Amino acid sequence: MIEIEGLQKTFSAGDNPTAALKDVSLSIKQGEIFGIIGRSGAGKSTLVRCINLLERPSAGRISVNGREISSLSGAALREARREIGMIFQHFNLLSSRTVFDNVAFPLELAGRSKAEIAREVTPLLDLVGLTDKRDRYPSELSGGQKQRVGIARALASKPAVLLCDEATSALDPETTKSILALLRDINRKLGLTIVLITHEMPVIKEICDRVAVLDQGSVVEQGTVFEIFTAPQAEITRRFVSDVIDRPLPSMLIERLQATPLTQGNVVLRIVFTGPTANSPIISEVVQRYGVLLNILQGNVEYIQGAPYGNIVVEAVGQPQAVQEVIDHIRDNNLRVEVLGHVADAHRAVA
Amino acid sequence: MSPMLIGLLLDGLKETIFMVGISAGLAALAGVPLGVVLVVTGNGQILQNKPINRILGAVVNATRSTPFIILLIAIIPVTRLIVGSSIGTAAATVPLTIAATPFVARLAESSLREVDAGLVEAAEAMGASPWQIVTKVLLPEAWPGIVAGITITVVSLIGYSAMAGAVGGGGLGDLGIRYGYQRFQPEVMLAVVVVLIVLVQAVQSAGDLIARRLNKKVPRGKA
Ligand SMILES: Nc1ncnc2c1ncn2[C@@H]1O[C@H](COP(=O)(O)OP(=O)(O)O)[C@@H](O)[C@H]1O
Ligand SMILES: [Mg+2]
Repeated sequence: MIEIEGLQKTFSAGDNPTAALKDVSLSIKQGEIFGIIGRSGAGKSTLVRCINLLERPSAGRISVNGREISSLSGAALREARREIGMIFQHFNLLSSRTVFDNVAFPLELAGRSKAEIAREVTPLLDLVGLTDKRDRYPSELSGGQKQRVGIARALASKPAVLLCDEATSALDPETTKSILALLRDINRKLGLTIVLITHEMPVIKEICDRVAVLDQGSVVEQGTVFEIFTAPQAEITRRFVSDVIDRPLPSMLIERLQATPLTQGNVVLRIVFTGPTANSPIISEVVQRYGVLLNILQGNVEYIQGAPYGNIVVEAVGQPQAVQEVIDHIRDNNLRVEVLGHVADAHRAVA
Repeated sequence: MSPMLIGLLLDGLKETIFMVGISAGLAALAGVPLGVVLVVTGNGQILQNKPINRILGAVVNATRSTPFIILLIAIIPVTRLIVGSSIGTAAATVPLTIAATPFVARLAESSLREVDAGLVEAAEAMGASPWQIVTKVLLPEAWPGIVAGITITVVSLIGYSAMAGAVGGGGLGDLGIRYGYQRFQPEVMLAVVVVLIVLVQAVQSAGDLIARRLNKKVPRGKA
């Protein structure tokens, strides 16, 4: 659907040129929601703006829907852009036009008749839930409503692709959820391919199918969202992922945690369950087989693309030998275990 | 107030309105497009063009820095060419228009520059042509500011039109000078000043009202 090959972009403003994109290649499939995550300044906006040629690549090729974009200009480029919708962090609605006229804008640009425009805009307002706001001006809308207008406007020219540049970054978490749900809905209903740029991992987790991690102008990692979340490879990806998945340990536990084993102590373990194994009764199995008690200190199960991803922190109470056997057993079952440290046994200490 | 004075004032008012109306109208017709060109040919803009931008900018600045009274006299040959005479109310509209056009252009330019670059970018992303960006994005978004700029121009023109008396242009200023200063009738001078104050006030209020009506950036309830 979108093929990006060897894309480079260097800005030569001033004396020192900035290499915003260094040899980026991506292949985005028809109908998927493809996320691109990166820190501020990673080159995300530049990348997405190259797709509709708002930014001209310094090198490389981009094709959308089989059409080579990077060589177009003038009327042919304007024509091609109509097939690529775009929404923005700050909505970019025309303040002098009502909701209806904003959505009608791309149709007007394409020279459609008034009757046609009315026919097309009405169902779009319905789709984004703004039928009752059709005669309002943007200044009279909330952020979420403005983004809905932005989405309806982007859909008006019936694009094959929707580019979203930080489309939810100016919205509160609640509104973000509703906008993401709307995008997911549109993706399913219309089969629209969505490219979504963000610096927020929860957004990726919420709706993306696949994701690429961009760092300093290069794609450092890409894969399905589940892969990226459960087995991040690059350091930066790990940091993004841990922001969403790893809950910080409770401060009471951190205070007690020691790096070295204690004579009268227990081991604190983090066990990570992914995919199908997340449902297996490993805990009770371990308890029965090795006589080690697992005292749960913290735990949560996230659902990523519908698959469970569990993460629990336990205090293993038992003989060191048995605890080691427990760790091996869990590893044998293809789960991740990590020794976080050691704590004095609260019960034995009291006794 | 004598009926004669009232007659004089009415004539003067009519002449002033004629001079200012014509020159403001022409200045707006020429100045707004000039402002558009100054913006779109600017650096990083949709029709970037350094030579055109530089030349127009220089012409605009030169005209704006010429004192009006000098402009008035310097362009007498041009005036004669256009209106067939260098004396009278119609003749006065030529220097007034020439002085006001770059003024409108700069004010329009600054309003147009304030239009969020994101809007232009969004329109480009939707496949808008440069002409469509000007007519459907830049001008509609900048209208409230442009109207405010035209209002300022009209008020300034009312002041300048008094100087047009120097070319026998007539109008209220001319009346004030002839009767109030040269014939020493202070009550005429006073009456002229009062009428001018009322006129300026009316223009400013009307301009503000139109600009406010056009401005949709403020929610209606709070406007
Ligand atoms: N028009 C521009 N001129 C010069 N440098 C730019 C321009 N746009 C972006 N950059 C630079 O390119 C890099 C990537 O920017 P951007 O794509 O906006 O990052 P992101 O969207 O990931 O925050 C940054 O270092 C930025 O300063
Ligand atoms: Mg950005």
